[in-house]
Amino acid sequence: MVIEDALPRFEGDLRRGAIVLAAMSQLATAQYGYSLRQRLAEHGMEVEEGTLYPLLRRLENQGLLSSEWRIEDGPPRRYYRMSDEGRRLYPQLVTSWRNLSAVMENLFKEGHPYDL
Amino acid sequence: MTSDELIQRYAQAVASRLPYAIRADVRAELYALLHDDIQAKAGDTIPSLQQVEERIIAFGPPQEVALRYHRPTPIIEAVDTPLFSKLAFCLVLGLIVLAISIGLSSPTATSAMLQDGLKDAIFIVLGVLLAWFWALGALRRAQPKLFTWKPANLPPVLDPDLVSRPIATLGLLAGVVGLLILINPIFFFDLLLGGQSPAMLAQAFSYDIHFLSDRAPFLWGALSLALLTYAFAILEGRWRPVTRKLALCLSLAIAVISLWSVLAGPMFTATPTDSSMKFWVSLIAGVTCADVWLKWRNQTLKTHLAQAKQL
Repeated sequence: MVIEDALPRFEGDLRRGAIVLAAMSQLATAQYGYSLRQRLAEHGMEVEEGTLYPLLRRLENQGLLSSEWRIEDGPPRRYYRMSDEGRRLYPQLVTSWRNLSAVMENLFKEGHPYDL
Repeated sequence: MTSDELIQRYAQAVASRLPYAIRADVRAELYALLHDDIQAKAGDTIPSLQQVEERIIAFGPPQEVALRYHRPTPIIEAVDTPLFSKLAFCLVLGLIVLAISIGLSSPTATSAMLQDGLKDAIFIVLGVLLAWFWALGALRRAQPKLFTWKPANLPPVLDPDLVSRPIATLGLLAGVVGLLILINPIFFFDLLLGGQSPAMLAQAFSYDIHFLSDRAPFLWGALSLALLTYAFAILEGRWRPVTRKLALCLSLAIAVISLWSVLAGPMFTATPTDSSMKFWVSLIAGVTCADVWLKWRNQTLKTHLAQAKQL
């Protein structure tokens, strides 16, 4: 079925932007990749490791995160946290997300002729 | 191979596809992340090779994962791809037509020589085109201001069926003069030199008697009909579907008659003139064939679009 094939693709498109915000929401304190993924999963946000780990580096390159290597229990791990730039941008992104979410809710209420 | 070695190999395979500056860092991080992930799944036991394989398969092929870490700049940017494809196609087609024209006009050119020459020319042309587009992309990334888009620069929307009378009339005049020169080149030289052309010149541009009697009437006739169709379109001020189709059929007929004229025997009595003429006639016939094909395709697409609109 075309719809069955399309669902994961469209869902992926919808989640792509949300993952950035979801990751930033948990990086007020330093986290390494695996622990961040666990925290997101605990909140119901399952993210594939192959997507999340490269994303963290991209966000660091864009200046939203900073990172450092630490040796605690286990092998050396790279810990990420929001940079000053990220901390400035994060509340604005959250506001944008809430506005967008409210707009979408209104659209769903008014626009769809079928029961959801 | 141990499970730890497999993780190391995978991290290495991903890192080796990345720029040197981030390679070691990504390798170490990826190793630590996969190690943690797999160990968490295995619990207190040592993870089996199969468990590691399953995890890294889920993570993705190394080349795809490397792309998620670092997306290299493309050699040809997506915005330039249609123009690159069009230019590459036209240039390769042009080179093939050129090679065939040389083959048909030059008695000394062998098939092997032509194939080798064509192969080299295609590689050189495509290589230069690739380098040009790569440099264009690099310049666009380095100096984006140079490529700032402005609405004023948009080209005007032209009616493809509209005939610009002044330009078309000039084209028609040039076509008529060209045809007259082709029919009687000696007369043209006489006019140009203000009297009798030198005997050598007259000899060099004398048509072969068989060409004049067998093939020339068809060629001159088809060319004259094409010019008449063009004149009719100028009078009407636009191309109609009928005149467009007629012009296309005549162009195809001219190309076929031209090729027949080249292949059936000498066109001029003097060999050097004959070779030169055959080269140009073949070249024009080849270009005409390509032009007819493109116009026919556009015409068909236009007809389909019109039919779809009616439905």
